[in-house]
Amino acid sequence: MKINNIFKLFALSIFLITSCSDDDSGPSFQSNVLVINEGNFLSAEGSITGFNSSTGEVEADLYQSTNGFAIAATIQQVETFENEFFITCNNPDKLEVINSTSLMNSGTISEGLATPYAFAGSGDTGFVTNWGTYNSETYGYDDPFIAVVDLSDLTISSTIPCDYKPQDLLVLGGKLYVSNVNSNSITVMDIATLEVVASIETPAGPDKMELDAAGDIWVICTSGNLVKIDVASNEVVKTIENVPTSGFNEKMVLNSDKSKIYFLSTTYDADWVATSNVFEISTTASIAPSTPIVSSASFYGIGVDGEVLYVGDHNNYQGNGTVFRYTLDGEEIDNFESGINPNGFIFR
Amino acid sequence: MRKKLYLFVALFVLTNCAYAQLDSLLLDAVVVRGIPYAKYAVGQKVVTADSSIKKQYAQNNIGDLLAATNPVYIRSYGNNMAAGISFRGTGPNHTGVFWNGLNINSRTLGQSDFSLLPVVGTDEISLQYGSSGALYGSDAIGGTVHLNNHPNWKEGLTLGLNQGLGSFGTTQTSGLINFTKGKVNFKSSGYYQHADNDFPYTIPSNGRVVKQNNASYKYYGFNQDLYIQLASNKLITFNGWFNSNYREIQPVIGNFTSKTDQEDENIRLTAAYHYNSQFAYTTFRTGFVKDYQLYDNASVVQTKQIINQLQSEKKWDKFKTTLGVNHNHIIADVDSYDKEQNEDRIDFFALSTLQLTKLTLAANLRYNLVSGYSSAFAPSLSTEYALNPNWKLFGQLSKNYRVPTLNDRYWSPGGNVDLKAETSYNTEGGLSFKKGGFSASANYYKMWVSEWIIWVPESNYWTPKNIRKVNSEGVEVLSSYDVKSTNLFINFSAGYSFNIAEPTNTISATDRSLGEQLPYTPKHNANAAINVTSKLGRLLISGRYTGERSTIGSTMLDGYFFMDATVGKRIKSNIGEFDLSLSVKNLLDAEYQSIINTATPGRYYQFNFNYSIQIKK
Repeated sequence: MKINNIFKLFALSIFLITSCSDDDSGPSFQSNVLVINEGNFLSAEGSITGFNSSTGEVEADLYQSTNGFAIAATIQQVETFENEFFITCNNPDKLEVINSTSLMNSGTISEGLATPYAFAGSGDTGFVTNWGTYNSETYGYDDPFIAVVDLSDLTISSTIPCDYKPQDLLVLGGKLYVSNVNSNSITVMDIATLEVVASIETPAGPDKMELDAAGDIWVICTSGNLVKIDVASNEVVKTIENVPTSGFNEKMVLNSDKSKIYFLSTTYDADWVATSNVFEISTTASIAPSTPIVSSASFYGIGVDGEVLYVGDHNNYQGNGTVFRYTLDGEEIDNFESGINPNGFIFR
Repeated sequence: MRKKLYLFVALFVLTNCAYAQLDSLLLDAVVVRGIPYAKYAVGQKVVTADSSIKKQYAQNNIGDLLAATNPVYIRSYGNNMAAGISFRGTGPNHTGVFWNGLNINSRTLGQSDFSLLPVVGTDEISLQYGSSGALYGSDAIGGTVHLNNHPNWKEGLTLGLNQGLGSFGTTQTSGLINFTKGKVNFKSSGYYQHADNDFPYTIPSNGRVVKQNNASYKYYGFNQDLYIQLASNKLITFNGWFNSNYREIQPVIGNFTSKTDQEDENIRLTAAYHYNSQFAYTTFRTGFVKDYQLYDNASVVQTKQIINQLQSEKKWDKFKTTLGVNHNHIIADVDSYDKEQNEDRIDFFALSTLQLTKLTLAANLRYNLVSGYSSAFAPSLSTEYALNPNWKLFGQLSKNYRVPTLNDRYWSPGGNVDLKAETSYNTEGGLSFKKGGFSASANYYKMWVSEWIIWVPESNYWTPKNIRKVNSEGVEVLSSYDVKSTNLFINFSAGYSFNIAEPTNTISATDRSLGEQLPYTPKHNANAAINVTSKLGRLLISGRYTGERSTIGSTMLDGYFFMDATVGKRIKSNIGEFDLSLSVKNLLDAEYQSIINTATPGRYYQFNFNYSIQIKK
């Protein structure tokens, strides 16, 4: 009979169980390295991991701890402009703007974008490439465009329809450079008039664009070419062929003095076994590098800060990833846990 | 292999026919009720939803009902959206779902989407706790869900009509005709439900309240049952279930542009012949299952299955044994496969139980063959021992398996035809107490799952591999207390479960999952319910607590309390019987997410009006 009563007591106690959850207390230290974690597409679980390179401290999900809510999207890229980070996201499609010091959200555009990819700013105007609306029958994107954003009130002031899928953006000398990744050209527009002023012919699949120390634009093309564009003549002045590229959403960064280019390529052997390599090439070189600095099977994003190479590893897409830090000679310094699919870095 | 099988079947039938000629005695009547092989599931808990709970969840799916009353976690991608079950720390393809004895888990995904299983679509819903691969074959690792139809022999014609209304533009209409004349029972029913499903939710980032977009759904279906009692020892049964579901796919919070949708159609037919001869009780069952899915008007997934089962049970005084064979022929027509794929799965099983005064033992065995590649063996030993009239001890040891899904084998590119079946070793034990209206049980279980299939990006596409090892262990406590008097019936029930489910190996150099609880697998689950029925009417309050769960990215989703309450009244009159009920769902207006970034509705309402009449002839 006693035990009977204990069971009854237990039954009642079920009603009384309460839960406690930890309060979000905000970031507890200053991170000089931010890891951009893409998240996986269906669960919209993108995040930003903070890392302090002098103390080695790591803090997960800085956006959440700063703002009290998650970014709740898949992050494509983060671009720094005028003390703010512009985060292009899809699922849901949006542009998040956060202060580059505090990481406090200062605004969001959540309507009018369609699979946004890259951002670039010029004065009070921002530009966002949009792949367009996904078409499940063709597995492609329809109606690509560039959204023109009024940064004073964060609204889309106009859209520029594109003939090809616009990938990366670069602002230089009052001009906007748009890489047409499904084609073989870069479109040059006048920012004041939004008129096309030139088209630069490139090898197929111009993707990521970066500016070097001499003021020339380097473009990595999905077709396996790395080209240098002279912006005075709007012409390709150097083509490095047989560059091992990934063929999709190329990852390329420059070092601090913009004299060396680092890029990531994932390629497959005859048995379709993947190898991810990080290559280095000087802006004065003219042949493709053949020996990678570091290799793995699951690299996803890269960054270079001073003499340190940061590489994000997607961990076979099983949960959180890892960031490996290497010397520029490829010796591992250390590593730490990131969020899901670390695809890029910001150093501040 | 098929030839051999049919030879075996032919032999079986002949033997039975030969003995049938000797049959002259009046034998035990054939009764169809409850879950199959229940008497061989010694020491395993089976919880069957009673009619008041079925009424309470009439406008919901079976996943919602199970989660309200059992420590299962439903991983639901929105309100009545795709929903997989997680039971005892295992994944959605480790719980077998059976409809009148046929495994209806999708052959392509290896799991059931519970949002395609409306509560109104079946007579009886039961949940069997724990592994039972020897009884039910593949998928029965965490537990099994049984949906069964049974005859209603009440003489005459019964008509029933139900009209439901609910929040977010929900309407449900269902009807039933039951006709019994002598040895024949004929039952037809149908249902239709539509919901705009535009529930309001708050966007966390800006506090704005918006209506959920792109989440409407409608479904309808029919059931047809026929039972013919040829003699007291011969019964023919026929069951059919057609279900059609159209849904827009609820996007993640803040996605206002998604227009993705999905259509599903399921046809399930089965006929069985039960014959209780002097020699043995033999059942021959044949079935046909067709699953069709069209995702976003683009991708078609269609499978057809022809299932044949033959089994015979022989009883002695204290010992009974069942021998049987099950053949499943699958034809898959899936856009993402290179070609139409055919697969044969054959199971042989031998079940036996010995019942002594205080001790019951069961030894069950199943051997599974899948065409061209794999075989699996599932034995189990279980026991129950009565210490005294109130206390019982029980325990089980078993080995179980899960056959790789058709997607695992044939997806192009990436499908891996060399996969082995997943295996799990399970043990559980516990004690139960029963006295008067009070019953309770507590048990511990542990399972070691290996060859767990994970899709990994081995090349430029993903491929499934038998690489994960997972241990899952836990404790479950259930209790129930009935108070009965002439005009009043009260039932209290409560349950609590604790589970630890962790990978025990690493599958890559950067794998961080070792020793971490599996994603979307709460460690703590508790539920409690009160059901009061009196002359004044009935009141049901059920509540549950779901503990915190991690997402794939190690974000912790907070635990939450969820409560439902229903008041109802049945009025009998000479023009029929009326039943009215009003339910408040999510009474506490809990904000929770079952999958991260997926909105769920706050407090909402459901109303049901039911009318039934019996016309005696």
